Amino acid sequence: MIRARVCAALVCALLAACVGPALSPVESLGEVGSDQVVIVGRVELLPPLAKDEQNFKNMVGTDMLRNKLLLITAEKWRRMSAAPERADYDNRIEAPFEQTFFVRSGSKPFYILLGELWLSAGDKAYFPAGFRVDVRPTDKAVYIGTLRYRRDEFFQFTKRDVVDDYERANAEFRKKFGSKYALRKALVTPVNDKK
Amino acid sequence: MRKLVFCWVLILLHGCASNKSLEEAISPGSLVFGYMDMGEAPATELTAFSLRQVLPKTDKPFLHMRTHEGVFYIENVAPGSYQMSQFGGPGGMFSSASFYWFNFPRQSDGFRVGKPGLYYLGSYKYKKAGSIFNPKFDVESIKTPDEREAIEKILPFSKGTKWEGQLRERVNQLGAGRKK
Repeated sequence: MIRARVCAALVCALLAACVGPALSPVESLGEVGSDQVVIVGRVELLPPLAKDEQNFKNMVGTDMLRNKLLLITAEKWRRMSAAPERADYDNRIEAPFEQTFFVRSGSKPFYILLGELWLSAGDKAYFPAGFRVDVRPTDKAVYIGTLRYRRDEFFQFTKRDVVDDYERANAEFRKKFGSKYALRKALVTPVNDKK
Repeated sequence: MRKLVFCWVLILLHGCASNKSLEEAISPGSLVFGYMDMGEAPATELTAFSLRQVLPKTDKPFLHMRTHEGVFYIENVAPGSYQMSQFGGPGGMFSSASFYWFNFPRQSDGFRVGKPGLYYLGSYKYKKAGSIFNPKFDVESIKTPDEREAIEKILPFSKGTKWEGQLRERVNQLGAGRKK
């Protein structure tokens, strides 16, 4: 039992220690460089994640996982058919459910390849993604929309929508950063690579 | 010597705990069963299989099934939604583990039990995957043994219960078995 607990704790500690950095949350626009942009978006899960659905008992360093969806991003598009490898976690977005996120990214378009939700040390749920984020060099802040996932009781997804909730996001953006920069609406677009 | 006696006691207790006979049907319960081929598994045989009750929510979501020659089964399952949770069996004489457990991910197919009756979950085979350093497994659907053969394996354990009639009726519906 002790061995299992140590292993579980290690898994999480290693994930936090070994993977590259996530896109940093932005608290002020002064943190955003001239070649960077603030990505604004949200993830919703219906029905919402219940308290007991994530079990991180005896694990350390779980803040990056608790009630968060890890959005795996990349500059080049590829369809992910297997679990992410260590390098895939670089530049992930740690998106808290039902909360607007504000993260810092380079001023280049990128793709959201997959969503990963940790349920426990050894059990994850994968959210289908495949979205292009249209970032332009002139952008300072981009609103990408709300990714809304509906699931059944077996954690199978029955519907996936990109919802335009710009008014709310823009109000939060202005409250947080003021009105110096405009939040450009550029909802993510699904990648259609089916032959 | 003490260890030997202890092992015998454990084996005897295990025998008592793993009663294979079905209890009488209680409405609105159902009989859920399936088959798992452990030929490629590091475990020598299937001796444990559990379901997780997903809906309605419960404090005790795990249902521990009976097993017999690869068939896993449990009677009087209440209406609700379930997923396969875990299965396993003992390691062999020279095995590195005394017991092997294999967990199904929570994001996997499930099934719904509605009106009382028989629910055949299918026949599956444990398949090795991954590598020696990162062992994984897959579960592959197989055609044989089929539902009829699975029923025939558990039919003796239903004797004298209402399940026996239902199982025999189902065998008749499925028709003649494979020629041997």
